[in-house]
Amino acid sequence: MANEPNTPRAYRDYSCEDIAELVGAYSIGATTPAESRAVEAMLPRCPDAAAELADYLAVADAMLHMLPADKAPPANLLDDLHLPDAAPQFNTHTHHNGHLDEPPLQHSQHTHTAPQAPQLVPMPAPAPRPIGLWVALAAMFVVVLGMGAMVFLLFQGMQEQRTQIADLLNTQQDLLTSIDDTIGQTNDVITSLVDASEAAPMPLSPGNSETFALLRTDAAGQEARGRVIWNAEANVGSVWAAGLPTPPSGHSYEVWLVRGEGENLVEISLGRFTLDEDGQGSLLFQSPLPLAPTDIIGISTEPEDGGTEPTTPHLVIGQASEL
Amino acid sequence: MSNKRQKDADLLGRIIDRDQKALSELYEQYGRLVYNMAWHVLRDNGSAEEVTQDVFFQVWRWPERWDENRAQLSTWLLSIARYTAIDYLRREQRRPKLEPTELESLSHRLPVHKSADSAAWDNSEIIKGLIAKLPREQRKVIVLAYYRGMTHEEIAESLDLPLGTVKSRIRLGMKKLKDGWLAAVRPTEGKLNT
Repeated sequence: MANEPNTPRAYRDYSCEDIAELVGAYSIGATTPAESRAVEAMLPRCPDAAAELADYLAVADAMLHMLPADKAPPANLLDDLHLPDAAPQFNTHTHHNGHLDEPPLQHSQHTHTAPQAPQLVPMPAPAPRPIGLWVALAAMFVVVLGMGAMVFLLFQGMQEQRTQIADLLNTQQDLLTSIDDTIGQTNDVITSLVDASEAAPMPLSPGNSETFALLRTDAAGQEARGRVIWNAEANVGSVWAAGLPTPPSGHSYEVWLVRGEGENLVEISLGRFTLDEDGQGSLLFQSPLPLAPTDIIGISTEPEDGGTEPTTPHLVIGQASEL
Repeated sequence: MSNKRQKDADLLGRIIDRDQKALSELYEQYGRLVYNMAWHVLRDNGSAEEVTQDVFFQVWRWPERWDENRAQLSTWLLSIARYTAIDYLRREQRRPKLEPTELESLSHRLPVHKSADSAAWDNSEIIKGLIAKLPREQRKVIVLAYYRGMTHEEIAESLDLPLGTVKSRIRLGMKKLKDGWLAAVRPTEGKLNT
């Protein structure tokens, strides 16, 4: 390969021969980030290299199972995992009697003794009260005050915990609501696909369509993914993608059919789509050419007034070889 | 669909339905495999435990990502374990001590624990044999790349070799593995579905 060892190259400077030499290393993660980007960007244009990569990936998958499994992990390793949407756990031991919904203390735990009314009997000159009585009264007052403070603090603590539990329940409810919304939106997408298929008869059901995945490239985030459903009889298909970043202003996502390589490379736009608020997008398309197993479908971000070929790396790509 | 694959699909289905017990069952079946993959990358018990937890957490979060038509469950889990462990390694910016003898003998280790689908393990026996036949220098760089997540440049620096030499060894070694693999599995296409 030219430009060894450290000169960075634009991915378009790589030929298909260069890519073919890199796919073996790419399949086991040995390529540098720049090389990986070049492989991912150029794969749609190098179907032979893409086919080789599929073989290398099968080898890499087999290598996963090579290692001995002679070390035993701890049996309770997952006990500390806090799984999302698991029921919240909380400590009940700090509560008065272990019941969270127990109403706060309804009564104080002390009693007052009303001073006795002085007896209406003539008495000789009253004897002075002993100092000990005052001390005892003062001590009793302090104890009563302290216990009252404790009761107040306990009650306040229970109120705070009640509030926290209410917040947790609200959060859980919000989560369930958002899940319902997502399910609703997914149903809407499916409904719109069904509606579209009914409007112009383009059945895309599992019985007469094939599916292949679009995998994320190094240019995309971890969540990027996609799927193509293709009906060879009707020459129509649909593309669905999720986890794509919001495109810059004045840009949208464009779907490409890539065929051939080198001078014979052809990249045909199949249409554009925008993302919904959940970062998902879909496109129903009628391909000008029947899809061949060596064809590549890719999605890239393009300006609204873009040209006839991609100007940025594909974010997700997939080969129709599974058809 | 094979019986094992159906059981795996049922297990993932229960996880999608938020059955925590199903995750525990998954761990009982595959925790050892995942842990050992993490350990072989990280060479540290504590780190391997963290990564193992992370892997099962990812399965809990995104169980729908397993496509039963593309790979067996064990393959999927091991793939997640490998790249999670390599990500951990890179994040921690440390490299376990290179132990050439251990690395070279990696492919000769004694029988693999056969807990998953037998097809996957039969395929791994093929690969083990092919790796064992590679020249030592090619085997070493491939193992470093695959089980340590090292790039061409990092391997060249670690082994004090020219970059072109490392690239060439990986390319030639992987080509031999691929050609040998295709020759071995082509007569029995059914085994290829890992």
